[in-house]
Amino acid sequence: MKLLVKSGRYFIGSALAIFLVGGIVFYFTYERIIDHEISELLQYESDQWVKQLELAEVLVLPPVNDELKIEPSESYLPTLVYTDTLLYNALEEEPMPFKQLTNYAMINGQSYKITVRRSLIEKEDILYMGMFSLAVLFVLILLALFWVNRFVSKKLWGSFYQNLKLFQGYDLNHSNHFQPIESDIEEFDTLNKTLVKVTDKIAADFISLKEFTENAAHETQNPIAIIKSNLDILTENETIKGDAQQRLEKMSSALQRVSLINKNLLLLSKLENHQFSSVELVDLKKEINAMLEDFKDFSDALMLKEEVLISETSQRYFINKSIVDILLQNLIGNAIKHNIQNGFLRIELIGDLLTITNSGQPLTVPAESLFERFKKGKSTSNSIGLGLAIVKTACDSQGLQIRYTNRNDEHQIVVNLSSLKKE
Amino acid sequence: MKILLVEDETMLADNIQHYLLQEGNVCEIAADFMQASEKIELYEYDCVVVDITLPDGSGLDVIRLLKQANLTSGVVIISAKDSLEDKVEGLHIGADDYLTKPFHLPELNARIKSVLRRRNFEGKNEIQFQDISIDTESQEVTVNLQHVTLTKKEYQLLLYFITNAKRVISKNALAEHLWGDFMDMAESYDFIYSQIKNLKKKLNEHSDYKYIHAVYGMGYKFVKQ
Repeated sequence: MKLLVKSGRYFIGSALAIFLVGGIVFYFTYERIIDHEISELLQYESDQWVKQLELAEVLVLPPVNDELKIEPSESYLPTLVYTDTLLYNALEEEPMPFKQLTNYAMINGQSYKITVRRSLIEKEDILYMGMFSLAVLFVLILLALFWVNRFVSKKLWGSFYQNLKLFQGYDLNHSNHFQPIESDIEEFDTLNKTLVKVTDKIAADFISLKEFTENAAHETQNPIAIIKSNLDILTENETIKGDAQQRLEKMSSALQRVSLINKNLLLLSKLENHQFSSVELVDLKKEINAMLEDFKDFSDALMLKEEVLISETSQRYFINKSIVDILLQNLIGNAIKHNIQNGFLRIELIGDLLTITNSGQPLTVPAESLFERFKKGKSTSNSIGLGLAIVKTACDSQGLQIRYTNRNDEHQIVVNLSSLKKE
Repeated sequence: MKILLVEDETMLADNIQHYLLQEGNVCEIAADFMQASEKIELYEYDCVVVDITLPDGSGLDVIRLLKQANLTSGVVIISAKDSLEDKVEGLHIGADDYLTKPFHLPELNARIKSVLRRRNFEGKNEIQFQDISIDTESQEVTVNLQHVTLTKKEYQLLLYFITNAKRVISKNALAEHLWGDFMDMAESYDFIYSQIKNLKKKLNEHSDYKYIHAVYGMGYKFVKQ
């Protein structure tokens, strides 16, 4: 849920509660005030009539109507009695609510009963009007809240959302410094500064790690070259025999692996540093066939059934030539290396999808970790476990999507080339 | 042959020199750009092997000096950087080959010989080794005056053996020469063994000599008898 929706809900909820309680309090208070006013009015009127009757030289009773009735009475009660009553209204043809005050006056020894009434219709009208204006106010406040929310989201939270978007798009591989839009709101400013500090630290660590890998791999090339040349010279030494000979051979094989790991780590560094940026028009069909030819010795040895399906439409893409070599070499190499005797290898390039499917042993590592460095199925295999990490990094550097799926002993890797410019 | 080796790693330079001297070459070492430029001014070399990263300059400048002086020496670059730009640049300014460190000494030897062959025997691309004769232009091989059909790999193997004749070559060096980047795969299937077996068989069919000898635990040796 969005922050503004959430805060909006709280605002509306609390406004609703306030208006409900306020409405009830308002209703009863108002009712009491009006009631009190009417009572006072009735008493005043009644008093006036008493005075008028007392002062009159000739006692003439006023005509009886809905609001006034003065009649001689048998009894005399020295108290004021307020009652609510309903009187039939001929005009409206229905009974109407009235409040009445009954009073007694003793004039010239004769008791008179004075009844004054006031219609309560007005009171109800006033209450209804009051409640209606309250409802209108509520709607207005809701509308205002809506606009204020929008304004707040645009003005106050604007820089926050912009920075959020910037941060989402932040990629360590592409830019080293995260530059948020400045804000005059203290909290956001603190957040920005913290983010910049943290990302700068991460970027610095990331760069130094990359440099370390690159430098380490690079600096070890010369020592490896020295060891290798010494081993070459020792190989020719005829006085070395038996056990020592075998140890030399083992050293030579191990060194070969070190040298290969080194080479691949350097390649990874180069890919991560985007050193393969120049693009040219590459005919993928030609490259795939050439790569299969290079691997022919190995696929023949396994007696693999090779299938190449390339659609008739142009398969020429604008891409870096080295990247194509790296991708095909590792993908096809992997598909052969992890294949089985009499297995198959199928390469398809249809509709911008390069699909490589091969038979093989069931996967022994989780599929998600397949593109990680130094992940390999069997420790006995000669593979150093960098091939797919290189493929992934190469794809990332070119903005290509790659996906791995498997069904028991059938493995498939799909590279989506649709982001590349085509001829 | 007179070879100048421009390399600042003393231990590596010594080993290369050792290997090349055994091939009957004269090999001098220049440890930096200054020494290299002095030597180029004073002497003439058939081949210059040059490292790109030198303490006081770039190996590429050594090549430029050579070309400015109009010297016809062959040039092989050896570099710790497997950089396509350097390679393109190097070959563009006149280098004949580019070899990335670490490399096997027989590989460097083969590259140097190939460069020298291309430079010195223009028009005559024939290698004679006892009763084996190789035409490097058409890649045709005759043994005992009979034509032998070799696969691409067998041909490469034979040429490599002959250029490093009489020396023990490790299986690793052979695999790296034949399969380059894919050599880790070659190792697992013992491809070298089967390639050598096939080549041996084809040579033995026509020749009276046994050229290829296995040196137990070490590798193989190609010998003249």
